[in-house]
Amino acid sequence: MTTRYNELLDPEFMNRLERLDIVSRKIYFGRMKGERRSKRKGQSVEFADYRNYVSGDDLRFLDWNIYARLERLFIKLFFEEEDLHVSILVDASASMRYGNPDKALYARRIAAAVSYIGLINYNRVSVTAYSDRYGPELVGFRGRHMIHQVLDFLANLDSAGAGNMAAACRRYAIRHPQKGVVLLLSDFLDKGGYETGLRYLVGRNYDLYAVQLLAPEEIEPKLAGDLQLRDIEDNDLAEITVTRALLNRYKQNLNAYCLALRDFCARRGVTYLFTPTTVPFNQLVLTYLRQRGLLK
Amino acid sequence: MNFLAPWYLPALATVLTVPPLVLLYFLKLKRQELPISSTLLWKRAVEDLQVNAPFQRLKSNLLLFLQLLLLLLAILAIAEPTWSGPRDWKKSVVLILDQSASMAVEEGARQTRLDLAKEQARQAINDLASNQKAMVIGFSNRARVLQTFTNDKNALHRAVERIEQTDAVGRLTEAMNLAEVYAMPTGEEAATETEVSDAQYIVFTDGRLPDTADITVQRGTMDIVRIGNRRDNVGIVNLDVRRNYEKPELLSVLVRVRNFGYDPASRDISLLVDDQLRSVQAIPLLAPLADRELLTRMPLSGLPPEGNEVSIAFELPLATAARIEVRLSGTDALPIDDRAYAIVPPPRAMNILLVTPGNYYLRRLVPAMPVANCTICSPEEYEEASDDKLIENGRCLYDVVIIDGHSTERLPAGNYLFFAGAPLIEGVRIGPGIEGQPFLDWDETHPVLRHVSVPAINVFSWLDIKLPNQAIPLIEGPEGPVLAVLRQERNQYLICAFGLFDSTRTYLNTDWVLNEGFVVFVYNALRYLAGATSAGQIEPVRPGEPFTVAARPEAASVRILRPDGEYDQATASPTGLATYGRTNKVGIYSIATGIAGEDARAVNLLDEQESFIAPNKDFHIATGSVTATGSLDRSRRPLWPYLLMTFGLVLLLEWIIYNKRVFV
Repeated sequence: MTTRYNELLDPEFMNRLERLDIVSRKIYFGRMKGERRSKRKGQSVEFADYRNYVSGDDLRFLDWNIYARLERLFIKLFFEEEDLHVSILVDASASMRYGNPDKALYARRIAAAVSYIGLINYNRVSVTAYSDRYGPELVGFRGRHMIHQVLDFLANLDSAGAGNMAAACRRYAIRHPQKGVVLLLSDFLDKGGYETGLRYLVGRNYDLYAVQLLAPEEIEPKLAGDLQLRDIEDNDLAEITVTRALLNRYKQNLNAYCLALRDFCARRGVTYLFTPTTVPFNQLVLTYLRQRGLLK
Repeated sequence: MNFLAPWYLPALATVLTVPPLVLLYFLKLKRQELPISSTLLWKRAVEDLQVNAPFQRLKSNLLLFLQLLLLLLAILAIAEPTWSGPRDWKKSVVLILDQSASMAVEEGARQTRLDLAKEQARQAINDLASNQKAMVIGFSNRARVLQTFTNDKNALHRAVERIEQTDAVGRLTEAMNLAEVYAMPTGEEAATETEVSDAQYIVFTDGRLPDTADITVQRGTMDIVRIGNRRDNVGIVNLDVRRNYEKPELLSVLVRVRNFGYDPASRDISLLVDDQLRSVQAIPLLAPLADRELLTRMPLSGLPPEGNEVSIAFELPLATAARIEVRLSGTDALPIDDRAYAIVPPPRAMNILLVTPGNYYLRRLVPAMPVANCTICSPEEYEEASDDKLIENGRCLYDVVIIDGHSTERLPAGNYLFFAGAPLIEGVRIGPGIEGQPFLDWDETHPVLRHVSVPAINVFSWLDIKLPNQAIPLIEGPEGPVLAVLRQERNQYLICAFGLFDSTRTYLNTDWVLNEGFVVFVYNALRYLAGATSAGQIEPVRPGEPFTVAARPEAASVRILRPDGEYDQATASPTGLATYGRTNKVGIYSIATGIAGEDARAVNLLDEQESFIAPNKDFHIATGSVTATGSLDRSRRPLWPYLLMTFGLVLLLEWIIYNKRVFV
């Protein structure tokens, strides 16, 4: 399915995104010079600390003023500024196609917006889609000019197949040892469970953000009569006779499911955000993601 | 509750509709398929509901139960159920209960027909609406109002309870007349009521009433509630006791027994004299009257089928007065007709006084009758005779006085046969002679005219005699009676308005004297007038009818011992006669008169209509035909409107439940 770029990001909204940057609550090592402070001490202009000179140190970083005063050799250390690795994991299972507006488009728009913010701030942006299999994947893009490739990737992203979050996260964790910000966009309605997958990501010590997207039809089902519900991922069937009790029970279960996910995330330092697709996309990016600390 | 539709109609509807409905529920429901993102939470919700609600399956089948209920209601409506409710009777209800002898038939569970009739009457009383009034009449040979019109149900119940079984015959006419009189609106009611309301006559009877053809229902409707079912009965229908003409000490007892049932019957008959068994005879097998069903629809008329009845004769020497009883062996539905009684006076020949100016025929004929002594005198001698020659103990010395061509006032207590004359007593007027007129009517069944051919009698002229109302005419002419019986106080008169000779006593006035009919008539007349004196027995009394006995001189009352062992008193009139009317039970009523032959009366049923106990299904009254129903006819009210209403309510409930399930 090809989605036009404008559907993902319109120019006006892109202008508004220019002012935002991605925040990482943790400081990681970067791979390349960038604009973000790294854990590594390096050659930036910002003084960080002193340490004793040991033989072999670069004499250029000796602080001669201190030597003149104390007659001891000290090496000046400077903060290193490196790039941030921003990864976006997009659930591309068939269930994401559900709803009006559908969750897949909503997820891709979030991914596009966050990618754009990452690119313009010289972060290393990766976008990975998964369903029952891992991929396709867009790895290590930097710079504003790469936005078209990212949008192109997202626009052509198809949502099909059953979701397998555990396998996808495991694969991702293996392939991406580089620490950074990981934004996971999914409905989390995975019959295999979300816990295993999240544990893989948490284990890598990513700065992890979990955004759960649900369609209004999933939150407030408008169903009536005797129905045979077909799971669009695995064609599993559920025969129901819609009653008030059943609907109440469904809502209770959904609420409990979301609360359990939130608790799971909270206990592991994962930032959780629940959003129905009825929430305007602009509002989500400009308000809710900023409130959650992903953007500033 | 009853169903009007044949049983197979609702059964067919059940078979055609209920299994398919249940099958539809067993079949997998064709559900609409709907793709959703994940069945994860839905399945969990369904499982949760099933776990949390143990009655969920039942709840989900509530619609099935409701639909089954709807179907059952519809099927029930197809069966056209009805319930029997009180009938829409008219405002005035007359409950008429038969208490005649045949109502004593036991119908099982120690309940007689009268008990059943009372039960039905009580039900009718309970069914009365508050604006209805009712009255209660009991009848056998006489009708008696036990409760006049009232809406007090307790009073009506008490009146029904007061109805007692009698052994009398049933006659409905009097009861209906009484009922109609009472049902007529009184002057006040007639003035206020714009519409004259009819009455509802409900007769509780087994239906063997010989007089129904005389009944007319002028205003109102008549319902017959047929009581009883038994039809097996063998009964004594006639008992004739006579002394031998030549040898009065020889007694002949003739018993006629008839089978009224549908099975052949075999019985023995016993003869008891003064409670001592004297003879037993076996009755040959009695043929049934008709088959079981026909019995309830046939009238008892015409000749009986061959072998259906039998006459048994006993002959025994009996020189004294005696109480005769005949008994049938075995048991049947009606025991009271299995016994019959007769009181036999001692043999005594008659004393006759013939008062005539000279009548060759009578002078020759009367002494030839079985009489002990026949005294002949002229009218003048009769008028001039001293009292001691005529009267003894206040009664006439002669058993019968025959007065020919003479009217007199000298009539001591006794029996008189007048030819061309009449007793000169109050109420009797003798007019001029009537010539050349025919006889219009006569009663051949009367003992006096038995075996007498009245049409063969030619009379030239007779006296126009006016008699009191209580006189019983035997032969009637255009102007009045030609032959009549008149009982007055202690005297009994048989008055023949014509003489044997004309007024000049030269020519014969009638040719009757020339044929044997006259001889038979005189014999009958003497027997009738002399009563038991010359006959074999004292005339028996029918149950419920009164009898008159002579009291002891100066006695104020007569003590009577009833068959049930109780004593009654009958007050004697100044003339020394006592009339007793409580003869409701069959048997011998002993009377302390001290006069042999007058000291008892036999009360016998001897009525074929009462012994024919098969309940009558077809009633024909003068104003039409009435069908007798087996029980109190309660109106059938249809139930289907209520079923339809329930159907609608259940349908509404089903609709609400269905919609509640679907639209949340």
